Amino acid sequence: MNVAEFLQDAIVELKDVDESALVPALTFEELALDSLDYVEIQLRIKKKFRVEITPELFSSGQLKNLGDLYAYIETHQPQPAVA
Amino acid sequence: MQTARIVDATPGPLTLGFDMLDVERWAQFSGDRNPIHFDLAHARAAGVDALIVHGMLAMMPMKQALSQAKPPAGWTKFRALLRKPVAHGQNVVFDTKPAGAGLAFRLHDASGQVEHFRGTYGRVDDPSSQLQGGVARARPLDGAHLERFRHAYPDVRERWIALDAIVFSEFMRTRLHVVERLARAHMMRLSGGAPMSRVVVQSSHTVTFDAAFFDQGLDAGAWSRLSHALLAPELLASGNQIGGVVALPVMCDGRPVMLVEVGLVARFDTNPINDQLNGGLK
Repeated sequence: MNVAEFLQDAIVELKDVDESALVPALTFEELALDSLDYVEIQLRIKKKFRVEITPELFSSGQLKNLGDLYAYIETHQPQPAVA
Repeated sequence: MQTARIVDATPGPLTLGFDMLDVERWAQFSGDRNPIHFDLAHARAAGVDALIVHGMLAMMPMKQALSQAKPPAGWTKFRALLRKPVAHGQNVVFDTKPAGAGLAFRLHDASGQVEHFRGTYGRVDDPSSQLQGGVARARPLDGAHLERFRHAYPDVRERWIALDAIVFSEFMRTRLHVVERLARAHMMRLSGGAPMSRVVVQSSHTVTFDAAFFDQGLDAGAWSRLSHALLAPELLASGNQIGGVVALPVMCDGRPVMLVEVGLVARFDTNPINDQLNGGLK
């Protein structure tokens, strides 16, 4: 399961939204997540991908939509150790 | 507490309500005597204009309805997100719909506009390999808890629901303060040492269990071989909140049979009235 699929599942669990509506351009403002939603998503991302998403990333506008979040996780995931 | 025997695979709407007797019975069993459940001033200080029903109490008839509608098979997961507290005496409606191989459910107000709980229930892959960390730290479960549960809830026959309640209660009584201390220390570091009060609420509850183990019966012999552990929670700060998920694996003879995961959010502020709010969960 890739980053986008994982996050789409997590959001569908939180909100009454059709998975087909979760396009990368969908903004967090449009998703209308509340503070508990944000905590839930941040915890799931940290557990699954070992990436910490701070509230400032949302409030500063660095992460405006789902596409931004997918890209941030993909570029900040710890790389597996090379033997 | 109202419960219902469900015969359809997707139960129709079920109306639930919880009065002070229900709340007192759960408090006696679980040890959760947070004043937000008993004192209106404390409930209001926590941001709710009514006495609040314990989340675990509200979930019990939901678990029964789901379990009766779709008997657990293989490894089964119940997962609930606690969105808004249920008030004492409030009528709320539980309904479900098919979702994948399982069911999705909601608990909402009579109008359907306000959602109190939402979640899923159904079969999942065997998570045993992820739970080995709990085996080494496990300690025995006191068999007296089962008798206390049976005495308080004689109509709840599903053993997985009983064990979930017992593990949660044991955590509340003996380990919640450890997690609270970690959260407070974490927030104090972030705030530069400024003293802060806090309110702790439960934000999610997940139970993953091996249905085959519970089908075989959880008699006194099996009960005496159960042990449980607390895995160190990962904490994540978000504004004035710290969230975390506490994992409580349960083993029988060292083999994982259940995992209870309690999502907690601690809200910190400098409002002195919250200094009066001691521990406990919504």
